[in-house]
Amino acid sequence: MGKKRYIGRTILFLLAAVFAVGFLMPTVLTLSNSFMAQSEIDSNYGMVFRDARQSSGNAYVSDSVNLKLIPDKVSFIQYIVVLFRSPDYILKLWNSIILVLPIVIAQVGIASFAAYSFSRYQSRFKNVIFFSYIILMLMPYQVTTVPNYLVANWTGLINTRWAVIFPGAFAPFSVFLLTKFMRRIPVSLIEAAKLDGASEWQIFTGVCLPQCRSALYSIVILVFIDYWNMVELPIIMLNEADKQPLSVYLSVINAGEVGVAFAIAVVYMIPPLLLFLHGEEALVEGITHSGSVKG
Amino acid sequence: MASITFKNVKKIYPGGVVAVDDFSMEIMDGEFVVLVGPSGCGKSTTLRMIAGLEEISDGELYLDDRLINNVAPKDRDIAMVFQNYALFPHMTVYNNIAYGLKLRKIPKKIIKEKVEEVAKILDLSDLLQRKPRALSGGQRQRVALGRAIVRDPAVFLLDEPLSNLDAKLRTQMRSEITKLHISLGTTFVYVTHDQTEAMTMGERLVVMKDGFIQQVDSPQNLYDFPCNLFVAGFIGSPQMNTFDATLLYRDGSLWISFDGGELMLPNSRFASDTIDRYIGKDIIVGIRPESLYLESEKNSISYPGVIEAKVELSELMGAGVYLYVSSGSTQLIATLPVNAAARPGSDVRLAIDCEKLYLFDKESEERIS
Repeated sequence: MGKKRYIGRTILFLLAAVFAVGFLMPTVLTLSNSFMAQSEIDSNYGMVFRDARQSSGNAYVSDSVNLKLIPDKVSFIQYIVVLFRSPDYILKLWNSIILVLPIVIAQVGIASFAAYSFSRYQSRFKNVIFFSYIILMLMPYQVTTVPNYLVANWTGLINTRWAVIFPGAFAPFSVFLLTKFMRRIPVSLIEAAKLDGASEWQIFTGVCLPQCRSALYSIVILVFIDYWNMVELPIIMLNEADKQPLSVYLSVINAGEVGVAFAIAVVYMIPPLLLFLHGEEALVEGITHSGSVKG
Repeated sequence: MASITFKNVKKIYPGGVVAVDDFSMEIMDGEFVVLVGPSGCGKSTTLRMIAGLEEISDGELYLDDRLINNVAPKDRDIAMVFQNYALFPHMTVYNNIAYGLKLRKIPKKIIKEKVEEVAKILDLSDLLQRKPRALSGGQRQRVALGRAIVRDPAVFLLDEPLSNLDAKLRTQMRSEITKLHISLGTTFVYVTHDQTEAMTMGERLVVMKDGFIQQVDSPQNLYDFPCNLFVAGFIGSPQMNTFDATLLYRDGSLWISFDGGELMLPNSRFASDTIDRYIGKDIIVGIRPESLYLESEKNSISYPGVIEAKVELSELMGAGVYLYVSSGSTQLIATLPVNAAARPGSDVRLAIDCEKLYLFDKESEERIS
C-alpha cells in the first residue's frame, strides 16, 4: 500500500515538474536570450525568420532553430538598442503607460462608486442593472468590440487614446468583484459609523474602501496585466502606429529583430511583475477571501 | 441624559410584516430599561427605531420633548453598542474610540484626553495601539463600550452586546455594564433575549412578544406578578410549571383538580369575584419550581398541598438539584436541595406551596390570580 502510494506521488511530482518547466520555459528563454549578442541570436533562430528576412533583402545565417538557454557570451547590446538607440521602443512603452494607467485609475474609481451603490442602496432596478453587468462580463470580448468601435466612431474618438481608455474604464469585471466584496462588509459597521456622525462620503472613504484594500489591489493588478497585454483593442481603435502601445508593436518586432524582441519583452515584463510581487498577498486574499470582515 | 417617549409606535416592513405594534411607554431620564423577548418579538427593531436606523411607520417617538421621527441618526445624540461590536477592523483601538469625536471636528488634544480617560475607565490603556483582530472578545466589547461612552451621549443603546461572549465573561461584563450605568447616570436601553441578563441588569423590563408589549415592570414584579402565561413562562429559570386543571368549589373552599391530584386553594389569596366566575371551568395553573418542596419540608409552608410523583430525571446543579417529575400526565420541574436527588423511576411525594399558585384564563392566557 505504502509503495503504491509512493509511486503515485512520484508520478504526480514528475507530472507537476514537467508542467512547471513547460510554463517557465518561455520566460526563462526570453530572459536568457535577451543577453545574447545579435550574431548568436541569428545563428540560433535564423531559420524562423528566413522568409521575413528574404523579403526585406537580408540573408539568414542559420537553417535550424536552436533553443539555447545559456548565452556563449553575455551581451547587453539588445538592451542598449532598446533603451538608448531606438526611441521608437520607448515611445511605444510610453504609449502603453499612458493608455493603461488611466484605465486602471478610472476603472478602480468607477468600480468603487458602482459597487458601493450596488451594495448599499435598494432600488427596483438594482438587480436588473447588476445582472446586466454580469451578462456583459460573460460576453466574449469579440461581441462587445463592434459596439465599442461603433460608439467610438460615432463620438469621433477613433484614432484617439480615449477610444481605448473609455471601454477599459467602464469594464464590468471590477464592479462585479468589488460589489461581491462590499456586500460582505457587516451592515452594523456602516450603521455604527452613521451613529458616530459619518456622512455617506465619509462612510464610503473611511469605512468601506479601507476594508476593500485587498480587493482593490487585486483589481489594480488584474486590470493592469489585462490592459498591459492588450492587442486587439488598440489595433482596432488606433490607426496610427505611433499611438499604439508596445504590446501591439511586440508582434512586429518579433517578425523582424528577434534579439531586440527578447530584450524588449523583458523590459515589458518588469512593470506587471513588480506590481504582482508587491501585491501578491493582497491579490490572493482579494480573490479567495471575498471580503469577509472580522469585527 | 434624556427621557424617551413612545406614542403608539408601529413598524411595518415592506411586504406587510408588522415588527412592532402600538408600542407606548416612557423611559425615564437615567433609567436602565431592558427590552426582552424571544427572537422576532420586535425588541431590536424598537431599539433601532430609537437609533434612527429604522424608519417609524406610525406613531411618535420623543427624545425629551423633541420629536425625533425624522431626525438623522447622527443628530439624535445617541450611541449604540452592537452585538458583533461593529469595530472598524482597519483602525486601532484608539482610532475606533476617537472616530466619532474626529468626525465632530473636536480638537486633537481634547480627543486624546477623552480617549485616554475612557480607556482608563475600561482598562484599555495598554491596548490603544492594537487592531481589533488582536483583541479578545471581552476586550472588543469594552472597546465598543468605549466608542459609545467617549461621545458622552444622551442615550446608550445596547443590542445584545454580550451574546458573543462565553458564559464567564458574560457574567463579568454584565456587572461592568451595570456599574458603568451607575457611574454615568445616563439612560440605557438594553436589548436581550436572555431573561437572566434582563433580570440582573434592568431597573425596568419590557417583555415583548410578536411586536406587542406584554408587560412593563421591575424584574421582581414581573417575576411575582406576571400578567399572562407568556410572561410567567419567559421570566424565571427553570421556567414556571404550567398545567391544565379545573377550578372547583367544595366545602367552602376553592380547589383545583388536575391529572395528578387535587389541591385546595387558600381563601386568603384566591377568594375574589373574578375567580368565582371560573368555578367549574378549565383553567391553566402555574407554579414556580422553587415553590415545590419535599414532603418532609411541608411544615415550613403555610398552605401545603401534597402530590405523588415519579422521578424522570434529576440534574445536579451543585447548589441544588432540578428534579423532573411526572404526576399523572402533568410534567413538573422542582428546584430542590441536593439531598433530594433521586434515581429516575423512583416515587417522591412533593409539597406544593398553594399560596404561590398562579391561575390563568385558558382562552386569553391572562392571569386570573
